[in-house]
Amino acid sequence: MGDTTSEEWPRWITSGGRLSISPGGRPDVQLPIQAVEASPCTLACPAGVNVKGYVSLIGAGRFQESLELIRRDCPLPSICGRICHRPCEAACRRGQTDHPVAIGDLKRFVADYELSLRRAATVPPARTRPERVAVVGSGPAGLTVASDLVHRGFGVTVFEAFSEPGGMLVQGIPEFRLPREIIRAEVQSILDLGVELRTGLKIGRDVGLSELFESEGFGAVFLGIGAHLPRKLQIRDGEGVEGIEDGLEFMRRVNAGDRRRTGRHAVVIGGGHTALDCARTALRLGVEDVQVLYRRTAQEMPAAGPEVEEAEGEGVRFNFLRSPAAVLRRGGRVIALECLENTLGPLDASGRRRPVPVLGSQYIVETDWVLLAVGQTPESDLFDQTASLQLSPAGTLAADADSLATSLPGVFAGGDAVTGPKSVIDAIAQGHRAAVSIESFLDTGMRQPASAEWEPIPQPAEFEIPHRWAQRSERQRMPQLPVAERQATFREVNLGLSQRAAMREAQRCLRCGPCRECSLCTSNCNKKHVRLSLGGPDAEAGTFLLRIPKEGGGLAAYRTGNLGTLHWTSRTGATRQTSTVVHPLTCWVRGERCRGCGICAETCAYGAITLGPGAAGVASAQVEPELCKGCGVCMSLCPTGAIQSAGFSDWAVAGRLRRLPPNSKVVFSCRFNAAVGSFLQARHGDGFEHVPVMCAGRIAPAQILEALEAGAQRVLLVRCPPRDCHYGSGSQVAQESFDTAAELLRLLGLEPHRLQLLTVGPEGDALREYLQESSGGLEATHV
Amino acid sequence: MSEVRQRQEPRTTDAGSLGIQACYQCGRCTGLCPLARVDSGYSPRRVLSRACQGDSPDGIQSDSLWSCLTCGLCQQHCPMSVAYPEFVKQARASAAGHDLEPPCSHGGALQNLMKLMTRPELRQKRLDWVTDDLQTSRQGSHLYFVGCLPYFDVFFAKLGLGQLGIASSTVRLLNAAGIAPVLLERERCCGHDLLWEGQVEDFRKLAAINLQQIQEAGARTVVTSCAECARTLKRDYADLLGKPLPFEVKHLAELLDEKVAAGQLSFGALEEKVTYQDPCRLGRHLGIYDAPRRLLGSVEGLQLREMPHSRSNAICCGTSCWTGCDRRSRAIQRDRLSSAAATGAEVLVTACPKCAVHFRCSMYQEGYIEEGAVQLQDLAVLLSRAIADEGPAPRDSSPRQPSKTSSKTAPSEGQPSGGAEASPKKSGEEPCRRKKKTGISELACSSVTAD
Repeated sequence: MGDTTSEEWPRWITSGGRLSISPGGRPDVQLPIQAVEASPCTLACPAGVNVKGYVSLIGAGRFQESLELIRRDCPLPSICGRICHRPCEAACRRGQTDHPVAIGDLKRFVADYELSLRRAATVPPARTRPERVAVVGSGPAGLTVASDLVHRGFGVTVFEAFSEPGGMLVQGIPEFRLPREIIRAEVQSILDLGVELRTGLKIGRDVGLSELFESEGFGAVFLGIGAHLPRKLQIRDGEGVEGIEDGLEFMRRVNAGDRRRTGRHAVVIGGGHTALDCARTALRLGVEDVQVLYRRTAQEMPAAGPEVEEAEGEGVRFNFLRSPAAVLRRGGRVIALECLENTLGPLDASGRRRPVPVLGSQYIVETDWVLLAVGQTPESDLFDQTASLQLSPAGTLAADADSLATSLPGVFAGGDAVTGPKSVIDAIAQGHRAAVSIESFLDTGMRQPASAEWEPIPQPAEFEIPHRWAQRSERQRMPQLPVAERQATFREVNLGLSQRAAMREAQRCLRCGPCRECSLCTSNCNKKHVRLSLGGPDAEAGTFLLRIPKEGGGLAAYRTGNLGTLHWTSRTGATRQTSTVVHPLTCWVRGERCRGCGICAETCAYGAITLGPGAAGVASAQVEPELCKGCGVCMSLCPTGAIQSAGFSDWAVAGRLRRLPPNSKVVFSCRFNAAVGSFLQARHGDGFEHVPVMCAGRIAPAQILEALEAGAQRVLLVRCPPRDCHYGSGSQVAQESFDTAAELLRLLGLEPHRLQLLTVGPEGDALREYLQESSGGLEATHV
Repeated sequence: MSEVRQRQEPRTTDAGSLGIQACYQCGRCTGLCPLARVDSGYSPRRVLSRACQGDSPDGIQSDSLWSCLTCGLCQQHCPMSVAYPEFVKQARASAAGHDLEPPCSHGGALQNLMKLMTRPELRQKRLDWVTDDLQTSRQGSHLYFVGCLPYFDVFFAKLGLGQLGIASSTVRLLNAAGIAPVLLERERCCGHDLLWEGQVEDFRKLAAINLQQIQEAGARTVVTSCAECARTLKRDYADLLGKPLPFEVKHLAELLDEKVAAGQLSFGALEEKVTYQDPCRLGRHLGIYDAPRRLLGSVEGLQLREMPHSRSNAICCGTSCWTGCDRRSRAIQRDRLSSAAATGAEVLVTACPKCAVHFRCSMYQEGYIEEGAVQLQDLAVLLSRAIADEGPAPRDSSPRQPSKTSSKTAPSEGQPSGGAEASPKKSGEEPCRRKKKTGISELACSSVTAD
């Protein structure tokens, strides 16, 4: 990996690699590629899902490819898209500008999109290994292990104690957050890979752990039994009282169809997701009021985010810094809780401030239904008879942090059973880890795989992207079931993004970091000419510099020259080929002309340009193509013409201006306002020469003067409003170019109307309306 | 030796008789060439060698066609006096016929401006900078050829040079010498850059318009504040006419030098340490080395500290004709600026507005804009500050030393008689660093600190 690391690359590029292309059957041509750290969202994901990659693909309308990319790291995309706690969004740099990209909603969209298509039957991976692996528990951790191992050629049997597979997804999570048919579909997609499922069989009770090895002949066992044992809360006089119910048991019975309401005034104790789910479920069962008592404050509450807002919207009341102290009862039934107020004391073992009761703060809460949701532990006592399976002090299964190997040879454990209750994505991450360990165990008999298998978890250090000018844009919100309708139904609350909204939302992504190797080039290349690798042709594909065009389909690869043929399928399904490697719409620097002034680096809204070493002791600008969006604003400010953008170089624009018809009018427009040019041509005939560029900020005074010098009668520069500019400061730079050119024209004595700046709003539709409504045409728009 | 020199007297017109055949490949040109010093791939000797061997007798096949600065340092020291700049000029003229385009800086905006100026029907508004306190004439013996300063003032506003300060200072100096110059509303670019880029046709158009106007104005002496204008009018317009010009052309330094010698002009005191950059066109092309130095010497208190390479050995400012600006240019500028700074001078004085643009650009990048570093000023602006009875400083062409109170106050000075307040609405009026928040100056400055 490190053999190609070069000092010439910017600091934050951590390693180098090579792109390997075999043009026309000749030996591989090795091209240097630059591998950079992943984007913050990917680093934040416990399972390392290639967030930026799949968000980009959604933005490009490539939903199927996007989902395939997700599935590499997350076998349950539709479930994850609904109930993940979304650490990716917390890390999203878009959040520094306005709101994070709605990553979870996008994942949900693309997964649902596929479900709605009734995909063709999956072809199971070939069974290449004789060994069979038992997976105990069909929750997210177990399903991930099963999926990973089946893909590696093993036989896998999943054991589920309940009749319905899904583990806590089915038992603990209410339907209005996660519809059952979604769970069924995602579980089925894993079973379709050839995984065997046996339900109603509880390992440890019905079948002993050792029997799995001895009589069933499994080579290894994964224990993903979850944390289904409710933690008890000791409340004075709380034993054997009617109307006090365990939260998880409550969820389990409601999810199983038992929708009895046992009270009218519900109190939920706890601050986790189960507490929230209990409260919202109780509401749907028709209680008159429900309140959540939590012993710390909202900041410390494990449940957070949109679910809390949704619960509040539905009428759940939250009371913080409250603990139940005693149960008041009448006739064996709860009538009220005696509660205490808390303050926060010093930090406890969990790193949160410990609640300390305030003396004399007792008060009474009238209630006839108390739901306790104060935590869960694994049913580890199932395995007590096999004493050699060790437990942690917290009561969870003890497993090695790296390999997830338990104290029993061949038995691995992961998910909530090891970590205690955590998010679905954490369980998936553990599942991947366990699958690697199990394969290694079956290969070598060693319980601990070689340490080289574990890559250090990358940290996003020194990876700061200046998005100073990122255009603000509203986060797309999923439509929701009206609150009134939620009261009596278990229908899903969030209704998902529309295709249009999802694509818009995906395009909000600032695409920090590298492209992270979507590998579309490799999978689309029929002749397998293109291969991506780090450190060698056969190494696992790593990070790479490909770009997916934002719209319009097609495939773009890093500019490498005429090196081979890429074969690919267009969005319409037609087979295409490109005889040379395609140029992406990025800027590039002619090093020999760069004088290292750094104006481009300071201008670039995406931090794509850095100054590196050049010849003669003069620095030279370098463009990181993966960050560059090709707007070309840097180009118009470059004093020497060293920086150019593919497709919109100085000479490309000049080429458009050569042989202008006499008295023609030149329209420079950014691509978001390209409709202006076609509109004017349609309306006024051939007198208009339309020169579209990516961003109006690419047009420098030079291009305006060039047009006039070439004989243009008039020049129109069309841009977006500065705050709606799609490329940072581009619109502002266009204004400056216009101002300078207008002043030069004034000195020359040319009439001011010969140069006009037209500022049009962000929406193409609005633009057309604007032009059609303004009967005065151009004259009315003169700035 | 004298025989040899006679043999290679400049043969002017076509490439074959330019005297390049006299080259005996000693390589002195390459050793001296400021470009070759920062770019080992560039070799005038090799270009000449190929041209002499007939590979490309017109020189246009050379990769180095657009690289030469035409500064003339090689010619100065060539044992055979090969006119390399003239050879390059001719080669570029041939290249124009082959559709070979120069690598224009600034996207070719300035070339486009010049070409637009070839249109005879233009009615420019280029004299807005002339304020009431400046005395000018409609007809008269002296004509001030302003050149492209009004355009530079707009185009390079972000550099904060305030190039029109050179123009107003020049008029003020002429006024002090008892001259109210004629200014031409319809003056064009002299055509220097187009000529040296091989655009001979466009050069001729510009020259024809200018010559006609100068003659109509009846001027007997044409003064320029620009070294390139001086060279072009003196030499190339005469060549174009094929006979001596009906008027005399003088750079401002020459004229003022005569006036001081004749006792018609005197300067007050200016306690400053300066160094002087000989512009190639004024120095090696026209041989004017002493006049600016005598002028600087006539200012009481002004100390001239010469750089190691000065007069005929001066190093070019790194770019010519708005072409070929690149890392080599910056390396040359960087070295020249450090030479200037090493003299201990507070101000680097030039007599060419283009030297000023090129140095100023690098000064931002090399960190010279901070206070205390050597600053940049045109000769005319410096001298106008030294005019005895002059009040506030004229329009500031570059931030000066912190010790000079006038430099601090000049931009905000409210007195209407001062040159600093000429045409207050113009964009180049204030130092750009204050005017535009995202101006090039900020960008360049911060990029320097980032380094």
